[in-house]
Amino acid sequence: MVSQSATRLECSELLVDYGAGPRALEGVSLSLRAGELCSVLGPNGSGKSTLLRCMAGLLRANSGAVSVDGEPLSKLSPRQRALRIAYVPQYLPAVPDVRVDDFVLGGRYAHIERWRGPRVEDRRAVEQALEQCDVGGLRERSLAGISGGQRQRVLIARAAAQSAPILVVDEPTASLDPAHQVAVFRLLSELRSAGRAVVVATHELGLASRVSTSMLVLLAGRVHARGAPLEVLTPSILREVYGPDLHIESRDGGVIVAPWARS
Amino acid sequence: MSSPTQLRRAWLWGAALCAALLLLLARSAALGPAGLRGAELARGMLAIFGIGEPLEAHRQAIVELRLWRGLCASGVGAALALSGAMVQGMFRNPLASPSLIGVTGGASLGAALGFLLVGGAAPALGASFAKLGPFLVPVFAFVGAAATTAVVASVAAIHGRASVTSLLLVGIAVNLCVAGLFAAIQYLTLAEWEVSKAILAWTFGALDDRSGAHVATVWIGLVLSALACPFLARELDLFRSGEEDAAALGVDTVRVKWLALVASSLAASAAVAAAGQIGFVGLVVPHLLRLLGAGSYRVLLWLSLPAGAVFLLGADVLQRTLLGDGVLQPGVMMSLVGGPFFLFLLLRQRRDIATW
Repeated sequence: MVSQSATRLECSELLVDYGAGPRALEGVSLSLRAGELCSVLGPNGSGKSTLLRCMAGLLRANSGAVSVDGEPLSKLSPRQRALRIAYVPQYLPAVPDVRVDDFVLGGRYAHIERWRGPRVEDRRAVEQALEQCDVGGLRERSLAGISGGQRQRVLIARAAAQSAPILVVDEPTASLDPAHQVAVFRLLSELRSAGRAVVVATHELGLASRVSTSMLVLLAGRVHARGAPLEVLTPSILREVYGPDLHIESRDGGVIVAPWARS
Repeated sequence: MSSPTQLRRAWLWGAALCAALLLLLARSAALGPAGLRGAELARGMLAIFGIGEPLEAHRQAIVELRLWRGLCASGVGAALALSGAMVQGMFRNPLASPSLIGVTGGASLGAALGFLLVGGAAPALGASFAKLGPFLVPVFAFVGAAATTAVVASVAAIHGRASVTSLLLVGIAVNLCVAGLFAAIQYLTLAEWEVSKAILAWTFGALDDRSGAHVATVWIGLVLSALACPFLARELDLFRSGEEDAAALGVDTVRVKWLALVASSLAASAAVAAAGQIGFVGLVVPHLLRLLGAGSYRVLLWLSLPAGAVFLLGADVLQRTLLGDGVLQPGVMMSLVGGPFFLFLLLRQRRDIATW
């Protein structure tokens, strides 16, 4: 039994209504402990990003609550929040022409005192994150001049440099080749075993099944299924969520998902 | 990591610009038909600060006017450039500038209303009211500038980001409104030629015939606005990848936007209150600095101060050297130089622009 104090992030009964169309989220609860990695699954538009933005404190739910270590997220200042939660967006709305290492140093914003500037430990955290995410060779390149896949890893490096105990990651492998997809999930798994609480939205069912401690499946803004990976990734649930065209097979504690050729 | 080298280069640029500014101030003081010699100038300058004997009255007055002109031009240039850099950071758009989006216009409108109150209505309200004049014009200019920025920000920005198109469209609309109100004020004051002339002259910008009060206005506004720089520089750098992204890193985006709004309005309105409407400095100076490699707001905000001062004072000295005293008003001159420069910027970026 994990003690109550180890619960890091708790969402209860979140409801988000953007005004137009159906509700983006309704009655979604999720709790995340240190050392857990929860994958949020679901088709496009099912509310994954909305849920993650609520968890990261970037979107205020219409009702329901998010708390970090027992404190309501809305009571924390942006800086306090950033010391506890790091967020990796799916993509950047604008890509600034800055050096990769300077960009990753941005992750240390909440740690850096205004009048002192970056210190040795900030530089060290940046270096460590760059190496950890396999982008050390890009440090002097411009963020605008590297490939989309490289940029995705730089974004994760920035979040790692933030050294927050909770990591909220939105579709980190969308533009990565298979090798780097594996590398990213391995990295998330390492961060989890080092004691961080990780929540990741993803479509990579196979990879997620290998590294997740739990899964949550959203469908049209509601929780459709939750539990351990092999409880969730069953043929019947996948059919309900993604339609009839997927074939799934358990192997070595994970799953393999392949398109099912219909005749 | 790049920061130390970048900072060292920024210090060098800053030092070079400050040296250039001092030279220009000296050149500006020496320039003119009165034929003042160096020693005489120095004596007159010292006398302004209460050191030593002043020159004979009219020669002393000339020295003072020239000093005010130089200080006014440099202060106004610095304030407009700083305001431009802040506005560009806040709107995450390098083509934003105080004049383009209507902030300068709003400040001018406020100043005109202030003029109207002081010049037109003051006699009716009594002599004590007229004494408020020097304060009323800058305060009205600030309110006008802040109100316009707030309107632009609320209309043009969706999720905090102002797209180029919406920014320009709102700027056009705001400038139209301001121009209409301005024309109305001018028309209504036509009967009172002096007031009308003062308001019209305002739109051309003015650097001659400045007083110590003008200099104080712009420099106080400039210093107050610059005090916001340490609270904006790193934040605006993080804004470059999006407002939500900055928020996720711990930036208090609401506070930053308010601070940038107030500080940029303060700088722009102080400039307008001191020297009337002078465009394009706020657009051009940050752009030139970026071309020199000052991409980070930690460098850009600070360098825009000496660079803006050198730019406007340099332009003033240049035109006085080439054309003689008071041929072109600075606002007119800046439009003549700034218009083509803006076109040049658009040409340079035309491939990007095609996708807007």
